[in-house]
Amino acid sequence: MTGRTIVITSGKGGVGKTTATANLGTALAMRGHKVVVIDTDIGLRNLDVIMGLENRIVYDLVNVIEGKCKMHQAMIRDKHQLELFLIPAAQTRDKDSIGPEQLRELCEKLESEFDYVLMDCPAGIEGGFKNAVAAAKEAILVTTPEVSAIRDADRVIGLLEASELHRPKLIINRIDTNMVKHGDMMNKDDIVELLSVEVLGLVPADEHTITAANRGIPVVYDKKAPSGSAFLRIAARVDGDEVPFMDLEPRLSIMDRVKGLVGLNGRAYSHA
Amino acid sequence: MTQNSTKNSVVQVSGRGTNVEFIIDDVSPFDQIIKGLRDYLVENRGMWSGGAIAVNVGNRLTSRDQLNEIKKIIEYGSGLTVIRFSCSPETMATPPSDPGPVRPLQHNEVIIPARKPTVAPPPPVRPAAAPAAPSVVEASRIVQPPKTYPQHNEVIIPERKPTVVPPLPVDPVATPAASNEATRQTGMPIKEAAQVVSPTQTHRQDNAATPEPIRVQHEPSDVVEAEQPLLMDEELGNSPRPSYLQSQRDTALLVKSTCRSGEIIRHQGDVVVLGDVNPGAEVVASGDIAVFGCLRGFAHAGSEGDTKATIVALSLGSPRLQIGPHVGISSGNKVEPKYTDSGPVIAYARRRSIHVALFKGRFFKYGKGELYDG
Repeated sequence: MTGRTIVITSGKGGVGKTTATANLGTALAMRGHKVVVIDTDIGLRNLDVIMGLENRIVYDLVNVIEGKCKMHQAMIRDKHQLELFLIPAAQTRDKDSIGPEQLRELCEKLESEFDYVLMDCPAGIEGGFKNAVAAAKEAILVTTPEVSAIRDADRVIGLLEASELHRPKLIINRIDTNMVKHGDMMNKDDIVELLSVEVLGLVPADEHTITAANRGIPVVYDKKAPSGSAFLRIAARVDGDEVPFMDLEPRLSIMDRVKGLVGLNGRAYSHA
Repeated sequence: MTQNSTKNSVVQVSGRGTNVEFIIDDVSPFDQIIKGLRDYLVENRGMWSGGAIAVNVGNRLTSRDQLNEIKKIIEYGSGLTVIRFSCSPETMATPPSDPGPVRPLQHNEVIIPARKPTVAPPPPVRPAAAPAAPSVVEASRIVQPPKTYPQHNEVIIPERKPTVVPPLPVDPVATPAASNEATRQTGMPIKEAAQVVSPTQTHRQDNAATPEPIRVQHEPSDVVEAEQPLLMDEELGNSPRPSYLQSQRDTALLVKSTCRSGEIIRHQGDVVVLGDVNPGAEVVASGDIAVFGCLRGFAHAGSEGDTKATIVALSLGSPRLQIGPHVGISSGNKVEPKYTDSGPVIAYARRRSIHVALFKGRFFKYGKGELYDG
């Protein structure tokens, strides 16, 4: 079995890399794949919290790479999905604890056992980013419709192409329909025009994402959450399914639901 | 011998500004030198505010350890950096086995691994150390090789495998004197090489014989004489040409992908980008720049001073353009980029400002145009 190693990156922090990783991993596992998600954000681990597995951590990524434990000892099985595993990052170490070569070796081992190896990349373009990118064969880029996030994404695309990761795919996270409608937020077409990459999916701004993250249950389990269904659709596209892309019409219907949610408290989404 | 006289006889300081030299007495015993040096530094602590000095040890043939100790004491006591040791020429004539006049072994001498005392790092930031007897631990910080920091904000262009038009043979007759950089730019090879690729270049070549309003103002001598302190003028006049521009090949560079933020494309000759130039990217060419896409980053045509260079883009949304020494920036009160939907535009230098006009083909006379305002 040869799995796909995908890095989920963004450049800018706080755009939803970790949320996207947790939800994509869960959604792919729900589709019946064997999935392992790796948190490469050493020193600032979060993926375990989002997935609700923080109190099961015994060994971490650095332990595996340093040979202090076996690979399988560090893999934490998900609560709900039997075929979903997490390799958490070390919280007490820093990004220099591992090197690109070691991470690549680990990923190659994992690829032989799993269908998908998803790596949650740290923010920034320094050592941690380089480690994760060196080990990956594909890249998914997460951005939000903000100029700063898009500028960083542009830079990251350049760096990914420099490390032979061509054609990264884009997830635009936290789209606020109200603001897009009023022209206060960049819409999908503006972003695609600027970045000129293939769009993998659009995730509406959704408060369910935050409550789900706080509870440690990925939002894809929430049937009512529009962001959850967006991540399910993205997972299907990653899997190669031809999911009808969110055209204007279906997008509007989702957006209307978001608008209703957002409109209740009468303010635009403003979480950083 | 009083303390004061000892001190004065041990260390003498000569020179000023950036060329300060400590001359160490070469007759006194080494331990006395050390002591005098410390006293001297304590007494004159207020005099030093960092910088590099040289130390002359005179006729004394000091060992590496002794030199390191002197260096350490000076650097601790004053915050100065010792960059060079020197000695009198006659000292070098004596065989190395010949001991110096006084070479007593010091009781507080620290053992330092062999290393070159002539290379010193920048002065380390540390609080003023008391010039007391140094501990052995402190010896470890004496000399470190200077670090080289990678320039990770420059993406190496060769990775993009650009298509380079092969250079035509440089005709020495057609290339004017290299002393005038702007004139040099108008040499034939650039234009001929670019003719294959860039429509703007051919445009320029055709106009070279008959000057047009667009470049009436910009005879090459204007660049040198420009009284206004424009950004590039100083560079052009004084500094030698940067090494990346010293290539003898005048070619056109074809970039077949989008230039992303953080990427810098520097080229001597013309640059053609088949894609966008995104915000945060830079294109610097000594010739013309043509962008078959939206130019949103910084573009500098005629980087060696050619004010006849032009920038052509299908869509122009750049906050800053530069042609030769002339810079065009947006006035800052714009809401939307002006030239994004207007079709292909050409930017050129006219009366020391950047003007923009709709691109009307290579034979069009770009007389007017409007002042560039992002």
